[in-house]
Amino acid sequence: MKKILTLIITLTVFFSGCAISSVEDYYNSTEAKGDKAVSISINCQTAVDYPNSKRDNGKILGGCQVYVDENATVFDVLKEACKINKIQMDYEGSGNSVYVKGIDYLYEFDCGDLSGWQYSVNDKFYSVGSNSFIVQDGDTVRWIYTCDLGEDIGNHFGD
Amino acid sequence: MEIFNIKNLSFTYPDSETPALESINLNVNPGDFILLIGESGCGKTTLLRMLKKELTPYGKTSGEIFYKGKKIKEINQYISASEIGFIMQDPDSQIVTDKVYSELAFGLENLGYNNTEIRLKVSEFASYFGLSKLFNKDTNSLSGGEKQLLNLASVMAMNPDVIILDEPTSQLDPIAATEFINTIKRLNNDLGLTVIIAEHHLQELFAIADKVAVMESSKLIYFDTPKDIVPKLRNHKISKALPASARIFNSLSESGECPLTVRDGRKFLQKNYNDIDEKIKVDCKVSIESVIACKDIWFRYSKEGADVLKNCDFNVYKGELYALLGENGCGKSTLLKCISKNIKPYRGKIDTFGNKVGFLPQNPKNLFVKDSLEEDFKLINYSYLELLKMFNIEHLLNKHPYDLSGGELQKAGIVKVLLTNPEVLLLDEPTKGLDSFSKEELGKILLSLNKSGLTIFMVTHDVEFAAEYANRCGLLFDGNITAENDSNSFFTNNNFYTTTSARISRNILKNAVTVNDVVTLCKSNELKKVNNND
Amino acid sequence: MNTFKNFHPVTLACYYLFMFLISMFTFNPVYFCSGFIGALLFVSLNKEGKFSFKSMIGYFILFVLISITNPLFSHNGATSLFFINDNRITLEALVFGMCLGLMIIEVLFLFKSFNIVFSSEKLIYLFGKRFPKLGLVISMSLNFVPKFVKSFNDVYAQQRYFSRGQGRVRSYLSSFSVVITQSLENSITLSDSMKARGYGLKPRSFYNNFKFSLYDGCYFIIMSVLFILSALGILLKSTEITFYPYICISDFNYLAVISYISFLILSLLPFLFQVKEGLKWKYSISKI
Repeated sequence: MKKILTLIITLTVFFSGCAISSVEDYYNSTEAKGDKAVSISINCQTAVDYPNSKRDNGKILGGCQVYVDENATVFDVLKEACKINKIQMDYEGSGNSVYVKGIDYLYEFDCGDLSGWQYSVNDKFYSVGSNSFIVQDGDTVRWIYTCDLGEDIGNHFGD
Repeated sequence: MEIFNIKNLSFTYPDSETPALESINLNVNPGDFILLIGESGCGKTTLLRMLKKELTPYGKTSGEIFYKGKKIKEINQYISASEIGFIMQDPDSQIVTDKVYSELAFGLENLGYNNTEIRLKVSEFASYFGLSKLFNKDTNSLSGGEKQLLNLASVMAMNPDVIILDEPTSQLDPIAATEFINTIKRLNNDLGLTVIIAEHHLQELFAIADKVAVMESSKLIYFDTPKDIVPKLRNHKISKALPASARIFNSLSESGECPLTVRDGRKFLQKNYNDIDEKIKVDCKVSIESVIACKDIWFRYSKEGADVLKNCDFNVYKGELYALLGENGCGKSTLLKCISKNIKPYRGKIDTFGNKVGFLPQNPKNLFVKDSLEEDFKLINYSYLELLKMFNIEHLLNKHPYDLSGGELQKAGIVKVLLTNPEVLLLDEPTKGLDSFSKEELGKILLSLNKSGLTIFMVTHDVEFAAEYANRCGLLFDGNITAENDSNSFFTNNNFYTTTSARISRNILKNAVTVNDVVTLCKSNELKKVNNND
Repeated sequence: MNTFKNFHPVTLACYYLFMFLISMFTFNPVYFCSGFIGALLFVSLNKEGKFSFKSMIGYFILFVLISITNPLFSHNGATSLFFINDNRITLEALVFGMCLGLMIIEVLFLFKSFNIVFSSEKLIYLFGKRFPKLGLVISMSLNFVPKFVKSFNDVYAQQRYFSRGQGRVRSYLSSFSVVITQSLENSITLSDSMKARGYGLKPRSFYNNFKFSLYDGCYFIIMSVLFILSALGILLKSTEITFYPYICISDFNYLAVISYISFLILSLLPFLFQVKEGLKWKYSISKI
């Protein structure tokens, strides 16, 4: 009996720190938007071309303008865009080290051991984490799925 | 042809200057039952190990041992492994495997027998030794006596011609020891198995053995039939180890044939002495102040288990030496653990009236944690020198506890417990594995401690020891104390559970329970003896 | 009465190998359910299983915990239920978690039933037949460990008495060192006892009480057939279920049904066998 009680208390404490919201609430919630305009697109053509692929459309999000605040990063742009367009997005980590695992149910390793999501800003790839790269007004962010550690999307290793 | 022919054998251990064996000559014929006796450390074990090639110690050897006419060093390994069986003292650590049947098969597996052959031999010997019921059990679940029988059976499964036993019953309770010795006797009678056995506990063995070899400080001093050897040992140190009837015979300086069994002892007394009215005077002064009071204790080890102690109710009074007797598994050790507060009874109350209780466990080795006795004593108290002098073990101060003999270890254990300044000393089987000399020494120490005011409560199988030294005795049976009295009345009232001397002198002498009692009563009535002889 | 335990160790080992293989290489709740029910029934039939409804509460809590933990960490899945701190909790992840919980509990019960059936002697037989020395080592350890624990408890009780006031950890350590030293001492006697009985002279043979009977052979074949049928469904993907992004069950097909039924029978085999033998026994008694 004691054990079960402890368990319940632990769970209560655990969940009390969480903000729970329904699906509608989440998508409808409007936060104060910034004044930096950034355009973002999400593409997974490589996954469409991958053998035995179930996907037939490589364009997840084609050219969308989002407004973000002063210190917004590439990750914030993605998160905001996904929220507006109701696209599923999954990440792990927090703070400066956030790793995007999947967008629109397309996850890392879904197309081989070297597959995953990468981003480019103004058609240039960066090797810093997406939550460390601060975007400028007018930047163009692209999230691209790779099946070969970036080789197939023009992010050649060592460049 | 002789099984063993030992010619002028001497042996010296590498780190020692004095030889462990000195010019031993001995012949063992097929079917002989040979008993080897002597004080601890006189070289018995070394001699026995010399007879088994695999266990021969390293050292300087001279002289020869022949096994069936061949030098023992040159006999085939398989012959040595299967034809010469060897059994050691500790029943526990000789067992190799986890199941009784696999232990029985162990030796045969080593010799590469196939499954069918092993099955035949194993089942044969399990039936012969009455181990069938235990066949599928875990070896850990056996009692000490069963374990030693298993050791014997697993050696016998290899079909040896000779079996060598090094104090096989010293760790067993008296009933298991008797059973073990009877089994050996049966093997000797039924199969013509040659037996060489070293032992301290001689009551039964002496009457069974064909020949007795007596060793003293590395030398073989006598080798003769039991009856002839008793008079030779009359004034020898070792005579204390002899069976009660032989000791009575020796002490009364009788001539003629020596009695060895209880039956012969009774005949001897009846023939030479009339009924004697005189009594041994017993001064039994018991203080009325209890130091331990147990009130209706109930104890069991597990929720569904049986009660080990049932309504157990008794008192130990200040300044007495109380011996609690009882057979194996009757709850003696459990009671001790209750008193020493290691475990708690589920009903009833134990009061020690604020007295500090010191507890010496059955295996005193468990007490020692350091590399020498001195370091260990220092952990508790620096005033150990006086006690050491009293116990006569100052010379052992720098020794490792595990290098001590059984008797020395027991004494060192008592010293360690006494350093905590207890008012009551609890002892669990203090005489286990001790030879008669160590027993006597221990008894004297206990008496002197008792005289200086220490209350001693011991639990033991050893009726002879209890009769000799305890003030009061109790019998624990079925979880409670069924009989309790001063030790003389206790043993005089019991018919079966009593000392050998009491059984020898029952209905002849009034209340003799020790050898000394019998001798005293007989000597004071010498006249009647003369009348009888007329 | 004859029981499932009385089968030859090889037959039994194959049975558990089949069960564990299927549980490992599939992620299908139907298999898990059959396996769980079979093992549960068998465990509850045997006294050694110590089965009680109270113990089931613990397993249920474990199941619930695993079920809710998975969606907390995996946010994949198309059907969002709600959001916690901007992380979506999805139906698919919850269902996946429940399957995971079911699998873990099934495997736990399989181990329980394995423990009931596989006594130490059977294990030693399996190893010892091929490697007699390994068998001996296992047997010796099984002899040694309880002895060690017992003497540790004895020594510890003593050390507590002498080291009152000292820390518990210290008495544990000193007791441990005492018991180790004593074990080393005893191992000298042990090695003497082994040498005296000819250990190491010849390659060891191995003694055992087991015989592979016709009965074992029949059941072995039945098990193998059932296993192959259930494995076929997995290999040909006719029983495949995908969870992400949508739960997707493969279309109805006869092979899947056959696989499910074979595995259900395979799971229930120990239980059915024991019930069958129980009835047989009752019947033969009533005839007498």
